Amino acid sequence: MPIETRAAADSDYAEHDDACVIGRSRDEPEVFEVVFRRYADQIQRYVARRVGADAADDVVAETFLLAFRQRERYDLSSACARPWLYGIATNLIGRYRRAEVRQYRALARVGVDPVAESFADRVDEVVSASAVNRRLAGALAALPASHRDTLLLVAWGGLSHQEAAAALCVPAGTVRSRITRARSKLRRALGDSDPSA
Amino acid sequence: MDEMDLLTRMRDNAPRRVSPRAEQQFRAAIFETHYPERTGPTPRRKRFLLAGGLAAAAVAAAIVVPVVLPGGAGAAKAWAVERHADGTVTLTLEQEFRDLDGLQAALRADGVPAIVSVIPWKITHEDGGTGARLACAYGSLDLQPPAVERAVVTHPMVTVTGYVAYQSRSAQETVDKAHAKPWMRKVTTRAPDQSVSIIHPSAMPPGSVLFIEASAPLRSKGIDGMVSYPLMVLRSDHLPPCVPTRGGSSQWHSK
Repeated sequence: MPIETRAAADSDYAEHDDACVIGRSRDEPEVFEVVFRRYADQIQRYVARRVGADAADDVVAETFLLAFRQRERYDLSSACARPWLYGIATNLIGRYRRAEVRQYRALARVGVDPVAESFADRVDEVVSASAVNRRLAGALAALPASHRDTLLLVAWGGLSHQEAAAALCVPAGTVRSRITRARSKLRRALGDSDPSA
Repeated sequence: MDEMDLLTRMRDNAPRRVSPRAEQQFRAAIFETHYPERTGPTPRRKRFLLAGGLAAAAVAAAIVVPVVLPGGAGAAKAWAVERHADGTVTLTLEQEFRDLDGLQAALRADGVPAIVSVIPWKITHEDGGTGARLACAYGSLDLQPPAVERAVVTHPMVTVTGYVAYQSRSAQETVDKAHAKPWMRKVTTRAPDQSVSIIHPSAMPPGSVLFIEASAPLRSKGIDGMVSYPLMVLRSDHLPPCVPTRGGSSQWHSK
């Protein structure tokens, strides 16, 4: 498929940080495409791991649409839009909170992960989870939502504590505290020993 | 390996690329946001409407062939008829839905007995949704066999290069290069082949007539309608009455 226009759009802004691109998109809305192309892959992966492939499509599309609509409010002193986008995505995942927790519980209970199954190539492919994943899922289901959001932004989103704080609009100390507590609960669920040993 | 390492490995088979569906949803939403005029009167820029669309619209039509979405007023003419030395006639239908009487006359002048009929749409509210169907239908057209029709009307392969500006599950809309935005995806696709048809008058049995059942564009309640021009070959110029279809509101939508 010819993609000359995409390549041109990306190369035009290769040297520009996100703030510059977003600032430019305020006058030229189509420039926001560059933001999408920079971050859509990783946002999709993060959201899909939390809520499954089908719901992820809607969340990802809406994440970037909301970002597009809110681009006037973006703080142009923040060079990197990554935390901002993850924050929007995490808020939207909140709509699927009950389903997300239900899926963790299902994984913990029966050992089949409906979310991982949604990534499988074949519809009849059953993704069996390890005992470790079952325990992790049980622990994730039991975490307070804010702790789960924080933990998974770091573990699955790959955000630093500082970035997670920016994404969630909380102080960095709060992120550290939540991560510490959440990790402690995961360790307990895993038996306070090295489960991979 | 600690709990964070283990957690990082969980669901690691998740996709590493954005899904086409999410990408398309985003682009469609941006398009709707950025080009709100799409939901109003059709803008002047040239567009093509490709593929299905308006499934409900097909209910009452014997053949429904989406061809092109018309441009605005003042656009190029809706059709072109060109007779060739070998006796064939090229019929090109595009953009505008107007002067179909002229189309009928032009075809006849070029040796193609033809009837062009215009059928309006009507809005339906069924099964909790809003749809559209043709307001009437010719239930018992006396058609020539399909083999004759295939000999009379052929469709050359035509490709169209455009930029995807909007896509739903059932239709894809593209704009031409002049109106493309950097984020639009370039596509070269088979054009709706019914937009260019070759008529072979010599293959028409005596007395038969080329019948073009044109449906007017529909724009209402978020349905951005289409023009369809199915081409059929009748055994004679006798056209039965167009019987109103059941259901739908009394409000007819035609240009």
